[in-house]
Amino acid sequence: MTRTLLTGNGAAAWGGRLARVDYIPAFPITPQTEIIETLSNWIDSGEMAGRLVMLESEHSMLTAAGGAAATGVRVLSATSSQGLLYAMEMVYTVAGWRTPFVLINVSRGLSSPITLEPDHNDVLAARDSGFLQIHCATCQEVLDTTLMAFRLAEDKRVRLPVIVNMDGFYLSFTREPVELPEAGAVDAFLPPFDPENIVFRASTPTSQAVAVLGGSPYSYFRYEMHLAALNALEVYDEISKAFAQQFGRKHDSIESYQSEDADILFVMMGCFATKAKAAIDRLRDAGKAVGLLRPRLIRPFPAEHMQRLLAGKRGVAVIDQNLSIGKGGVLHSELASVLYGQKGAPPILASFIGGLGGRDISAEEFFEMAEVTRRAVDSGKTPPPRLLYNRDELREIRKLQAVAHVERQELGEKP
Amino acid sequence: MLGVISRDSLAEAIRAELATLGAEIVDKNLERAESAFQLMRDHSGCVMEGEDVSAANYNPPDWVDLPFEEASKSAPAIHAGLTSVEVKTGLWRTLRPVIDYDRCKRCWWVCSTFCPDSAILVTAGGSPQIDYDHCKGCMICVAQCPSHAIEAIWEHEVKEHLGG
Repeated sequence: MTRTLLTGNGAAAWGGRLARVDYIPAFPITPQTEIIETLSNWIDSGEMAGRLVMLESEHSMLTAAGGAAATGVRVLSATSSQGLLYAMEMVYTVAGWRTPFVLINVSRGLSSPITLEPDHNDVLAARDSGFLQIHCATCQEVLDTTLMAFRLAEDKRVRLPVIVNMDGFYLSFTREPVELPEAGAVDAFLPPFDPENIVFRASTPTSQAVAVLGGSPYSYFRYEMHLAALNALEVYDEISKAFAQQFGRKHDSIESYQSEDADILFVMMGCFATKAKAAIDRLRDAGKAVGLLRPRLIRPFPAEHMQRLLAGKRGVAVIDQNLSIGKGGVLHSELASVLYGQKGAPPILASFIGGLGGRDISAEEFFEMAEVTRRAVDSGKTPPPRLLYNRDELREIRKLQAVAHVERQELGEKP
Repeated sequence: MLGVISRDSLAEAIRAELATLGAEIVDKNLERAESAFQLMRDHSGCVMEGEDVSAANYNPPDWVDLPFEEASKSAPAIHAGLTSVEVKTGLWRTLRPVIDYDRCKRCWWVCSTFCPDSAILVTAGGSPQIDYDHCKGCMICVAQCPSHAIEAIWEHEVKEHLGG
């Protein structure tokens, strides 16, 4: 075991290398390109076996990933943001093929306006596709989760592709200490893929995905995917136990921090949760019983586990780093559906939208979200959804609008 | 960072990180890092870790309720700026496409249509003119011209080529 400094991208590449992937269809897009650069360097230098092929788009890349997985080899691919959306038709299609592989997504906000920094709207667009989804908060988790994801995808009770998500910039380009497991230990945890009846071959045509008419067979195939995804809850727990046994690190489907004796809980996904943990340490210093739940598994959603962890709590502040336009925070909706009507469900489920396009969330904002939730608990009234957005930020927008206004006048447009 | 990172571990990190780029580049970087390390030595300890904010006594964030504004104001559209004209992207070019007007058939449309940067303008007489301030030298026009009337010339050889 070696301890070294790795970016999230480097950690994902090491995950692929240690998993001994056979095939990597690739297409560059910021902020994930370093993953495929690193893998291609290793393949070039002979440090890694396997084949990396550059496709002409993410749509083709996902097709190649599904096609290769249908031959029974181990496949890794990576994308981000607009790339994931460009591939979206095939994201749904290859998930329906029931061929397992792993796709790393490096989260980045979506157009328009275009940006490079992270939020989770990109990966949540794939939420209903049949891909399972695991969200990471540290570079170590990126490596560990990539290994776990192959085992989850390839399990015969599941056999669905898995997206491993990390936040662009905050993880992709940030170096953290990462323990690189020994190759032998990884081989013991993740043996070669046994593809059973996955035997698609060139020149021996079989029907990889049938057309069905009439809703009945369609319902069967789609619901089977759903049942397989639900199976993944139990399989994931087995895998995380086996991983902990082999490597000493436990990655539960929901990370729980200071939650046992907490009255009020933050619930959020991704690496901004590490900021919440630092704020919770300060809140605890001030005698406030606040904790954190961070679902790593988003699909399948660990509903029962979440119900158990939240039973008897007084208030929940859901912090969504995403925005379903015309509805609100996606995780907030998911939690509401999981908690409604459950015995012991917290009476207050407050919604906060923060971190869109990589906008920071300060310690003071975490303190205030805890405070707003506590006041709601006392008054029994759920507060309206709150965008984390300051007076100074609005001033900045006014300044930008003033500049744009002058330019429109110069062009002779109506201001 | 001085005092936290030793000179030896800095050198080791540079060697590990840049190994694939070859010994010459590694040596150059080691030299630069060493001189920067010496230069900053007197200032070691100037940048310290910030103190934790207290949750018992903090300034609450100045949150505002974002007001609705009509799309005529709130859409992210800037219709002027013209910055792409001001930026001389032609400086990126290493190869220059040069039109041989004796061979050019004045078809007027092939090179100008294929140019991904709209850097080939066409005169009223159907004659293509390359805007070298904005041509990035992708050579797509060279590849597309059916009468092979566009040549590719290395930028550093342009002077002697055009002079000779």
